[in-house]
Amino acid sequence: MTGAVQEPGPRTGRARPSARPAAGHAVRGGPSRLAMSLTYLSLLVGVICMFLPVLWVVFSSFKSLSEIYRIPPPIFPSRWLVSNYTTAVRSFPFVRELINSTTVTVVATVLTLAINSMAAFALSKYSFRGRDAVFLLMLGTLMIPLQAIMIPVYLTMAKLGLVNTLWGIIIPPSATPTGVFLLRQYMITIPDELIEAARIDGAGEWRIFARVVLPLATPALAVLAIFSVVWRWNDFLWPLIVINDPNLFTLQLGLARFSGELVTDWNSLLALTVLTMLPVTVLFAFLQRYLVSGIAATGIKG
Amino acid sequence: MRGTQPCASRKAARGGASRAPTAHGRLRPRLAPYLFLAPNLLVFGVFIIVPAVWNFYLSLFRVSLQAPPAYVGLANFGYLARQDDVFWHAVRNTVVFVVGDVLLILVLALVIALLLNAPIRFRGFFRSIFFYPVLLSPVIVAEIWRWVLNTQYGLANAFLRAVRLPPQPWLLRADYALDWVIISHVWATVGFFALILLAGLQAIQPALYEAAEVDGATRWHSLRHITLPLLMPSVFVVFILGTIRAVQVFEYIFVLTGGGPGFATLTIVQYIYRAGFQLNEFGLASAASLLLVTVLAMLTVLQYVLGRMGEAI
Repeated sequence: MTGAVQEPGPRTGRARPSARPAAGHAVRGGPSRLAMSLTYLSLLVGVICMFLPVLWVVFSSFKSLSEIYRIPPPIFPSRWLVSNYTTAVRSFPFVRELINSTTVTVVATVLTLAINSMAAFALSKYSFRGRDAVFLLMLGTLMIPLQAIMIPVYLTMAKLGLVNTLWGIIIPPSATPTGVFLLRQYMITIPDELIEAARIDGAGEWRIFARVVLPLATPALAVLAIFSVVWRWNDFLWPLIVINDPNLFTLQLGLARFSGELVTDWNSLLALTVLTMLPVTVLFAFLQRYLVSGIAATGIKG
Repeated sequence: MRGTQPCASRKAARGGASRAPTAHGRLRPRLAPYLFLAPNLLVFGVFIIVPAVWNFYLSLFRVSLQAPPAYVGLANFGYLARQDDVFWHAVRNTVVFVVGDVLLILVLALVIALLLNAPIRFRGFFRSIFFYPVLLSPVIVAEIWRWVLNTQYGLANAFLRAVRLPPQPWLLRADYALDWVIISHVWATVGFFALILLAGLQAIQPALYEAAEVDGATRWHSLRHITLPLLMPSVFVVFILGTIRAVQVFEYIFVLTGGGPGFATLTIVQYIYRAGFQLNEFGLASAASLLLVTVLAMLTVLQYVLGRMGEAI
């Protein structure tokens, strides 16, 4: 603990001028050692508050039941029991739920990219009657979340026969205004000349979209794809409303239902929790740059 | 209908193409934008516009499983206002949740953003740590906190015991369960809002600070008279976004406490869920939904108007 606070200490003086001009010049000698120590100390407290709950769950998931029930509880498991995981995977419908979650995530992301990029292309590269109306309509409905209209949404799904189908989770959230706006903002920056040139070369509108605009919009598509994967994987509300059949449970729904029962089987629950958050954690570890910049740029949530 | 939209629309696009009498048998640019928009608008219309309109209609009916729906005018709203204690519980809880959640988020996100904007090492690492919980699903966050706040085996009570204080039934006591729901919800979301504020801080021109410093301003003065005023637009975004999100809170609390103990942590969206899916009172649920949509719409308009005013200044 002290190491983490003191270690950067000697650097504060050195790093200052290049790090941030605002932090001061030789005039005042930059942030004082005290100020920087307080900064690091606060950050450390923050890190502990943010990360300890997660670590506590991860450590607990490897403990034996007797260690889980011990008071006071040990921080680390005395033996790291991988058997908690194998038991959880075998005795719960984990694999089936994993397949359902993966199917929903992949199909919904492909669908999201397809229909939202088409809409974004129309809204950014054509001027046509009704464009502004469509745009306003989408903007306006941003304020009507599923939470607020879940009853009629459910009734609509029931009428269409989508209740208790994976399509019921996949299709409705795929037309996301956020996705359309994200892609539209990017496609606007693609020069119209490229499209005109392709048109003169005899390319049809679909070809222009698929061969010219989509490849150029790859960065924005990648950001939307990452977000869509996170949204779908984490989605709980749609599955909760649409799915009753345990065979179609996603991981999130299965986990919530399992923990809603009177649980005594803590180590399976904890192991399942860790397994369910693993994919997003891995995604975060490798792609956090995109996620962070995507959020900073658009204000959309992960 | 079933998920074949991209293919269907592609076919439609080709179909449209063959009908369009252009030289090469391709899409006419005139028709093209509508065809490109069609699949999105279809999904959007069926699953958002139609239900939103239907919601108005439903709120005027008494719906039950036995009898056909009966038109009751505004009776559902009257019942909510005058007779339904649970609804008022939900309103009160939601107001407490929104106020507590947004205030804590504003303060903590600002502190975190200022810390992350200081000339520190490992900024990327620290930023990741604060941001990580944002990506976890509501179910996962609820499981984490159920385990941390577990009365017998939780981390929180282990701490209390370690410093010789009596363990607490955190989420099981009606008088303070909502406080812990708020705190854990802030834990899960503050990183997102800190990120917005950090972006705002980094957009402030360093030259301003240099000028202030030449004029002999202390660091406190710079914070008070440069940083905070220039950060106000971002703070405002955080305020409105945070409020809109907090008003809609549901999944997280639903998994964490189920709205209990009693109705102590039941919020308005869970009231709607309960009325609709557990009590089959679709009309009542839709009436409450309509009130919620109204509040959200007012917040959005407020955001727009104040945002415009901010730009004008």
